[in-house]
This record gives sequence, structure tokens and C-alpha cells, in this order.
Amino acid sequence: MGDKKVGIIAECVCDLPKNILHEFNIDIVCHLIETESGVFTDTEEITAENILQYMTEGGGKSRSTAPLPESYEAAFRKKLSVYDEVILVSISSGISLSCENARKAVAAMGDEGKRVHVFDSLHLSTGLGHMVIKAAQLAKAGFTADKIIAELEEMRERVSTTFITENADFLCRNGLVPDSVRRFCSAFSIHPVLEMRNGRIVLKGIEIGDYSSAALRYVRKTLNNPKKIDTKRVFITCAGCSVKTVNMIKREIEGCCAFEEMFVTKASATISSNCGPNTFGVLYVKSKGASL
Amino acid sequence: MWEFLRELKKDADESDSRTLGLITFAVAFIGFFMCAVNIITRSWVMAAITGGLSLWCIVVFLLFRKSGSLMAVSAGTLSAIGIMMMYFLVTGGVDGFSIVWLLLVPPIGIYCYKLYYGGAFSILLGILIAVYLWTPLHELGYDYSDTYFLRFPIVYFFDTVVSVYINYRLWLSNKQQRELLELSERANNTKGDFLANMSHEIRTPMNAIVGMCELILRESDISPAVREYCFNIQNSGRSLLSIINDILDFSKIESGKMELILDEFNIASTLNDVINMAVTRKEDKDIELIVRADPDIPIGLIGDEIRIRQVIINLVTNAVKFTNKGCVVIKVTQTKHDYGINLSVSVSDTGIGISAENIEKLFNSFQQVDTKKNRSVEGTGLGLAISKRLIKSMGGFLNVSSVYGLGSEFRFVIPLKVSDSRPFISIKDAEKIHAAGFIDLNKFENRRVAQEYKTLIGELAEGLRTDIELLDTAEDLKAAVASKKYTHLFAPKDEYLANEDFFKEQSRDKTVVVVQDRQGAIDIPSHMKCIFKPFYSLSVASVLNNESILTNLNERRDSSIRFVAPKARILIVDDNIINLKVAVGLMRPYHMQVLTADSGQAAISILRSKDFHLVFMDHMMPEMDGVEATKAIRAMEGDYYKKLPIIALTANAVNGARDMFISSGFNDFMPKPIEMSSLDRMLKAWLPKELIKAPSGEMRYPGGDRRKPRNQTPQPEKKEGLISEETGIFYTGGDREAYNEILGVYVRKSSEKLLQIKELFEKKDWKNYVIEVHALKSSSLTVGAKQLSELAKELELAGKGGDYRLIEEKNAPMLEMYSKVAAEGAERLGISIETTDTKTEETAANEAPVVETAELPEISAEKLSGIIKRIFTACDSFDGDEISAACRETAEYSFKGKALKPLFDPISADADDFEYDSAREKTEKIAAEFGLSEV
Repeated sequence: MGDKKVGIIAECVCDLPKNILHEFNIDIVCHLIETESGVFTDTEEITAENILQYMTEGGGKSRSTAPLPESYEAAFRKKLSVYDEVILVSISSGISLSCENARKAVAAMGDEGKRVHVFDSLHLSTGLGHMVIKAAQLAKAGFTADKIIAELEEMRERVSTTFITENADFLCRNGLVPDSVRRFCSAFSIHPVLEMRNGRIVLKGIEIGDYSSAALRYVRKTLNNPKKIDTKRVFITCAGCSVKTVNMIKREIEGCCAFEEMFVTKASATISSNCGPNTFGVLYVKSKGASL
Repeated sequence: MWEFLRELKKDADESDSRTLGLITFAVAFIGFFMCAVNIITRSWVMAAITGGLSLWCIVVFLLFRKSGSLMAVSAGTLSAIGIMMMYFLVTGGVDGFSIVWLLLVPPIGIYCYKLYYGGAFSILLGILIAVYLWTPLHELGYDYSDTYFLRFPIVYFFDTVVSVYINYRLWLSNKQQRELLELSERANNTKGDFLANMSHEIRTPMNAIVGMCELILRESDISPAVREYCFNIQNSGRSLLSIINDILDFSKIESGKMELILDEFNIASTLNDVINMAVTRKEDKDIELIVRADPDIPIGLIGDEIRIRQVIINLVTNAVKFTNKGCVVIKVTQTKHDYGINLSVSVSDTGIGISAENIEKLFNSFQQVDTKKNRSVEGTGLGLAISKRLIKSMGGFLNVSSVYGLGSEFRFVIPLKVSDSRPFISIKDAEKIHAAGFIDLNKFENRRVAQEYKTLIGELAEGLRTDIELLDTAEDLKAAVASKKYTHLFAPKDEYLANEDFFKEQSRDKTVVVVQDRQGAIDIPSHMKCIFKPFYSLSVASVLNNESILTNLNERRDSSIRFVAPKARILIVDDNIINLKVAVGLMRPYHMQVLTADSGQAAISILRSKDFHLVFMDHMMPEMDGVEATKAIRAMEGDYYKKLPIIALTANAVNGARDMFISSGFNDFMPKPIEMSSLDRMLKAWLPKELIKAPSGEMRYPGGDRRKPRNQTPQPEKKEGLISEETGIFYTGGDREAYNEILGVYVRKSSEKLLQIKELFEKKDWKNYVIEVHALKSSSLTVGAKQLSELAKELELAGKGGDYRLIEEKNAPMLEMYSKVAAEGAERLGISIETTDTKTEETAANEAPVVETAELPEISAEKLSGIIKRIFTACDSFDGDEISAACRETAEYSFKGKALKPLFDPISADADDFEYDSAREKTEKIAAEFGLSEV
């Protein structure tokens, strides 16, 4: 336990609901979405539904960008006015410039920057969210920044961040898969299952057939070994899914594994713009000692 | 029969050419394949036939690609298939189970090539098969079994009949569907026409209401209360228009014809309009309207303010509609970017909320969610759908979050360019201000309201960069006042009344500001200040800057007139005199030379003799409408008439109207009621740039100049005669001045009308007689001549019913009464009736009665010449005010023994009616009569 108070900052791409952020006093730095008409702050000005509709209704080009160093600097300074040290739990550096920009901000802050720690989670969405909550809990419990970071490093390997997408259209649009793969997936009703591995998005597998059945199969496969799952908390993070789909997934998860807390969260616009509509993930933490 | 075949051919010709091309290509491919097989099996004849047919198909395919003729490709491919089938038949290729190949031809052929080509081909093939099998020809070919000769044609016949029947039913069903679709489109068009008419009917009177309010608001000598009421009338008028506008907007958006009009605007103006509307909508509901506006939002933004306001009003209206207790919070913020700002507006409430399932269908058109719960709530269900589409067209996003039962929040963000980056609210000497807001937060049942007020005060202090603190108990307030020197104390009405003595005492050395609702507002001592709810940054800033919020609004309105064009000559054409007055009034601040015409024909006559820079032309006018008039103007000789900008001024603002007007020769289109911002834009767009000037200081308050002298005219004593002033004022909208103006027109037109009615009576032209007495009935009632109106009505009914005896009996008494009414009117207004006879006005100056001049001083010839010169100049520049002013100067004088007033009054009247030519002629005659021709 340390005497110094540690504050936690995360990014909007952690997809945590407002009440959790409020409960743990977690500040958020928002990513940006650039469209043909302007630049919008993720979550505050633009939501997943907005960007998905923009992209599917022929709104034009769009891209997501990491927060600017100035935004990080402002957030760090604000937090440092209350806390002795600050930890930023950031989205994987393998898929975003967030860590780099945050480190630039730290460098620009001079001596004050020494009280800021940037932690590369190697995850995204509520996979990152799990780590943010952990960091906030530890900070609340009075752990030092170094100890919190050590805990997060240990936890990083145990977080399961997977998603299933209805098709490969958005993955192709964002250059993650070639057009031929997209066509192939579309022709044979193939639904890619993606995973965060070593900080990068990789194809974990595929589900074939009707999307509802494929989605349920994905849930069952993801939770096929409940003994190796830390059943404290699970997130169902969705991008453009209907209430009906979400209810169906919830029921399936309940049948697979008894989690203490189950949260349904909406993916941020940044995440959604990269995976497309009807995408969801079941994100949880593996129990300590479980084989990876 | 032929008609039926023509329809079938039309259907076939509408086939998908790509599919037919592919079939041709497929037949060619099969042909080549069979050719190859035959070559391998050394069946040279078959190889040659199949190869030839295949080549034939390729030729057809290429020709088809070049010519695109469906008939050619159909005939070519079908002939190849037919020859191939006949060859199979002759060589025994369709014996046994292989018969299926031949039997597939009718259903596939008819399906692909439709009944016309496919059906004809199948029948032809059937005939050929029958001819081959039932004639000795079959002996040349394959030896089929005996039963085959009968079985095969019968099976083929039934196959063809069934295929034809199925496809016929399919064709019939498609045809019916097409007809239904056409019917539905026609119905849709009819709906569009209905909307066009409805919009016209509603917009025309609304033009008068909203426009007249605009004119009243421009008057400088009205009380703040009247200004406030008028403001509310205007806003309510606009809200009435919003329903029809919703429907029109939606149809425009759906057809992709919604155009954004970008112009500079100030968010303060938008917020004021929104707040006024919200306060009106809120009525007696126990909800707090809280406005949290970031004072740093730039003062000059570039965007379509009307559409932005429309979206905010829509969101606020919904919030007020669905909230019965608690609060509605409007939050306006910004984020800065390289291109300008992102303007974010959030409207949240403590209403009934929306369930997650319903949020999904929230933006659907014509749909209100949770209709069981919202049965009492009115609405078209279009508002959100329109708002979302409007925001999308502005490059922004609209989203919603809600907790069922607790409330909802609608937010939108739009990127906007900035023309002036100064903050829209700023405080003078902010560091010298120490203010306290005393709000008893415990009185609010809903904790959200208290929280919002806390946040608001904090934001005000931060945003206005001044010291404002919130105190929520009287004890805290008193303690704070004792320990700190405050400059301003803000208190809501209830808190003020509960501590009235304390506040009165404090008002000796502090500014005490009572914040209250407009409804049930209390009078406060004159040395205290009052602001109406909502309590927000602009109203607080007004008080802190020691300004009136109404002054701010007026300044805003006047500042919207950002230019004048004194040399610009404008012609407004409209058959409705009220609309003309509104249009002229709205254009007055621009100091332009405005002339009016009440018909298309009159406009053409005026345009022949005078040059104008811009014409506003009404669409719907009797005899010659705006479109016909514009076409006639464009057809006139000379480049000027081809290039003269003509703007359609109409209440018909439905989808497609713009295109119609542009194609009819108009340059642009301005919907009624005329919005000052639209007028501003239109003038800036179409007036020559060199005529547009910045307004000088004295032009800031342009309203009402022409009316002031009339106010000074002593009113004759109220007399009970044939005219009831009270009735007249009632029928003319409760305004004495407007009544006098209309009575003036009535009196001036009376001689002409009398002559007309007399002539019609003498000619026994009953049809037109009825029209004239009908008009007399209405106009007499309008001026308060009830008896005359009733008499005219009696004669009108007699004319309609063919009771000409009654007309002959009562026409003379009616005309006599008409003369008396006119004389009484003239006497009341102090004008001379004889000189106003339009038929005789050319000689009026000469025949003007000689008035006793003993009491009137003689004007010098030099001075009179000067006045006449001024009138000439004013006539040339269409300056009615100057003409009236010059005429008034002669009123107290005589010249060469003649009183000048009766001579110059008609000139002034002409100026009032914008009849500058007539005014000039009359002046010339007076000058000639008095030997002042040298002027």
C-alpha cells in the first residue's frame, strides 16, 4: 500500500458504461472520428449507431484517429490536480497510435509527466475495460502505481477479447482482409471470429450459416470451459445489434456459465466503425492459472 | 386482340436484356459443346449443324450488343433453339426419356422470352413438330414407335398450354401490380397537390399574421408589454406553420430536394426563438425549463439557422410534450476545430422515457412510439425523422439515450464554420461583479432539477468569468450578504416573496433581480429588475450588463438589417392588398424604392414604362397569374426583360415548386410568409452589388415614419352616424390607425364605385351588379357602415334570386346611403371626397373647390416652387415619406387665394398608395395652374 493517491484514466474505446466509470472515478479521453464533414468526438458527439448508419447509408469516407497529445495532456493535468500519480490504461499500441500520443503528452509535461504512467493493455473494447476496472479497484484499495501496473501486466495475458462479425465487409473496408475474402465470406455465409492476440487483431476462426445460429455457436465455443473462467464479470459488447439479438446472447451465456455480473455495453464509434453492424463480443477474464 | 398483343409485346420488350444476352451466350456454349462431342464421335453433319447454330448465336449475341434490339436477340436465339430441337426430333434425340429436353422448351422459352416471343415460338415449334410427325416427312428421319406420333404432340400441346396459362396468370398479376402501383403513385401525387393547396391556404393568412407582427415589432413607440405580446403572437403563428412545414419538409427531404441555405447567424437569436416557443408550449405544466448555453460560442456562425432552429424546436417540443413534472434542459456547447466548431445541442428531460425496443423505431416516419401510453400526445410522428435527416444533411449526427420511466436525452452535433469568433455573450467589467443566486433547491421534488440548477450556476460563473455563487437557504443568503459585498442578488419569485422585506432592504445598494414565469408574474418595485424564466446566460448577462433583454432582442432584429439599398427599385406584384402592405413594410428597412402592382397585367404595364432592379411576383393571381406574367415579361423585346431578376413570391412551397418556377422563367423562389432572413438573402443575392450599402446610424430604426404625421392629425370627435367606428375597428383588427387607413381607401374609392354601380344598374348588367354590391357589402361592414352593408346584402341576394324589382326599388336609396357614408368618412378623416374620385382625378386639381382663404396665410411662390420641386424629386425616387412631408407643409397656406391643403391632399394620398405617377401628374397640374412651370 502506498501513500500516494493514484488516479485512473482510460479511453472511450474501453466501452465501459457511464455508471462504472462514475463509480470508480475513471476519466475518459475520447478518440476522434473523421468524416467528410467534420471531426467528431467518439461517444460524446458520435455514437456507434451514428457511424454505422453513416457508413452503410453511403455517407462517405470515415476514419478513426487516436486522441491528440493535447487531449491526453489536458486529461493528465486535470487528474494530477487531484491525484499524486496517474495511470492511463490505453488501447493496444498494435492497432492505435494512442499510446504513442499519450507518451508524447507525457514528454511534453516535463517533470510533471513523471507522475504519469502509460500502460499498453494490448486489448481493446471491454477487454481493455476489464483492465481499467481492475486498475481502478486497485487504486481505490490504495495500491501504488507500480504495483497496479504489475498486476495489469499479469492480467493482460488472461483477458479474452473476441468478437464475431456478421460479415467481412467492414474488415475489408478497413483493410484488415482483402476483397476476395469478403466476397467469399459473403457467398458462403461465413462469419469471422476475431481475437486480440499479442496486441493485434487476428482471425481466431469462422462460423458458417445463419447468423443467429453462428452467434450462439460462438458464445458456446467461447465459454466452453467455465472452470477456466473468472466468473466475476462478463461483458457483452455490441455494435449495432438489436435488443432481440442481445437478449438471445444473454440467455445463451446464462446457460453456459454463471457469471456474478453480466454487463451489456455498446461499442464505441471507433470500435464499431472497424467491425461493422451486428458485431458482438463476449469478453471475460480467465481465472489465474488457467492455460492460455 | 391487337391491343392485348401490343401489351404482351410491350411486356416482352421490357425484359432484362442482360439475362437474354446470357441465354444466347449459353445456347452458343451448348452448341459448341455438342459440336465438339459430335466431332469426337465423327458425326460430321451433327457437328456442322450444332457448330453452325452456335456460331449463329454468337453473331446474334454480338449484333444484340451493338443494336440492343430485344426482338433480334429473341428471334435469333429462339430460331437456333428451334432448329436444334427439330434436329433432335429428326435424328431421334428426343426419344424415350430424352423427350424431356423438348418439353422443357415451352416453359423455359416462355418464361425467358415472355408470352409474346416465347409463346409464339412454342406454338410455332409445336406446329412444326406436328407437321413433321403427322406427315410423310417423318419417314425421312428417325423411326419412332407408333404411339409416339400421337403421344408426343399431345404432351407437347398440354405442356405449351400449361406454360402459356401460368405465364399469362403471372403477366396478369404483374400488370395488376403495376396498375396498383400507378394508382398509388397517382394517389401520392394527388396528396402532393392537396398539400400544395393546403400549404397555400394556410400560409397566405399566416403571412399576414406573422408579417404584421413583424411590422408592429419594428415600431419604436410601443410599450414593452405590447412588444412582448406581439412577440408571442408571432411565435405562435410560426408554430402553427410548423405542422404543415413538417409535412412539406419531409416530402422535400424524401425526394432529395431539401436545400440548405447557409448564411451567417447568431446562436443567441436561435436560442431566443427556441426559448419563446418552449415557454409557450410549456403553458401550465409544472416543469422547469433550464437552458445551459456556453457563452463562448462564437457570435458569427455559418449555417442554415432556420433548419437548426427547426430541429432544436422539434426536440424541445417533444421534451415538453412528454414531460409532466421535473425539467427540460437545453444544453448548447461547442468544441473548436480547424474548420470552425462542432455545435452540440442536447435536450434532456425527466419525462416518460423510451424503452430500448422503441428507441430502435424512434426515427421511423409517421410513427409515435409507445402509443398506448402517449395517447393524449398529439403529433405527426414526423418530427424526429425530419430532424435526423436535416442533421444528416448538415453533416452532423443525432442520437438518443433514454431510461424508460426516467427521461430521455436527444443530442445532435453539427460542424459549422465561424465568421466571427468573438463570444456571443460577454460581461462588461466582469471582475467588478459579485452576484448571488438564491434558489431554495429543496422545493424541487425532482432532485435532477436541483442538480441542474447547481450545475447551471457553476457554469455561469465559469462561462461568464465572473463571481456568481449559489445559496440555497435564506440563512445562508443573509449570512453571505453580511460578510460579502454583492453587486447583484438573483431570486426566484417564491424566494423573493418569502423574503420580500430583506430584498427590498438589499435593493438600496444592490441590484435585486426577480426571476419569474411570464404566467402569473408579479409586479416588482421599479428600482428592482425582473427577468423571465428560463434563467440562463443571456438573460443573466443582460442584467449584469445593465441592459434589457427586450433591448437585446430589438437590437438583434435591427441588426439583422445589415444593409440598405436606397437606389434599388423593387416591384412587388400581389393581388392581395394585405400581402402587399406586409411585403412593402418588410422591405422598408432597406430604404429601397418600392412600387407595387396588384395584378400581372399591371406589373407588365409598369415594367414597360419603368426600369426595376428586382421584381417579386406572386404566383396565384386572378386573370393573369405570376407564371403567365413572368412568361410575358420574358417574351418582351430587349435584353433587360430577359435578365430582370424575378422572384416568385408564393405560399405554394411544396416539393417541386422551385423547379416549376425556375423553368417558368423565374430566377428564384421565396416562400410566404416572408422570413426576414430569406428576404435578406434574396436581396443580397439578386440586387446589383453596387446598390447595396451599409446602413447609416439614422437608418437603424426605420419603422413607422409614414404613420407618425397621421397620429398628429387631430381626430374628429366621435359621432354616431352611419359609420360605427367601434365596429370598424373591430373588423379591421382592433387598430385605429389601420381602420383610418382602410376608411381612407374606402372614401377615396367611393366616387368611382358609385359611378360603377350606377352604370351597371342602368345597363341592367345584373351579373356584375351583384359582384359590385357584394364587394360594397363587405367593404362597408369593414369600415363600420353596418346599415349600408345590410342594404347591399339585400340587393345582392335580390340580384342572385332574380328579384330585379327590389333592386329597382332600393338601388337609389342604397346609392344615396353610400354617398352619405363616404361623406361621413371623409369628414371624420378630414379629407375631401370630391378630389379623390379616381375617374376624375385628372381634373381634380383644376376643379378643386375654392376654400375660404381668409384665415390662411399666403405662401411665397419661391417656397411653393421649392415644395413642388421636392415632390418631383421624391416622385422620381419613389419616396412616399418625402412626398407626404412636402404636402403637409402646404396645409397651413394658401396661394393666389386658394387653400393648398385640398390640392395637395390627393398627392399625399397617391404617395400613400404608391401611385407616384399620379402624384407627379397632379403636382405638374398644380404647378401649371399657378404658373410655376419653371420648376
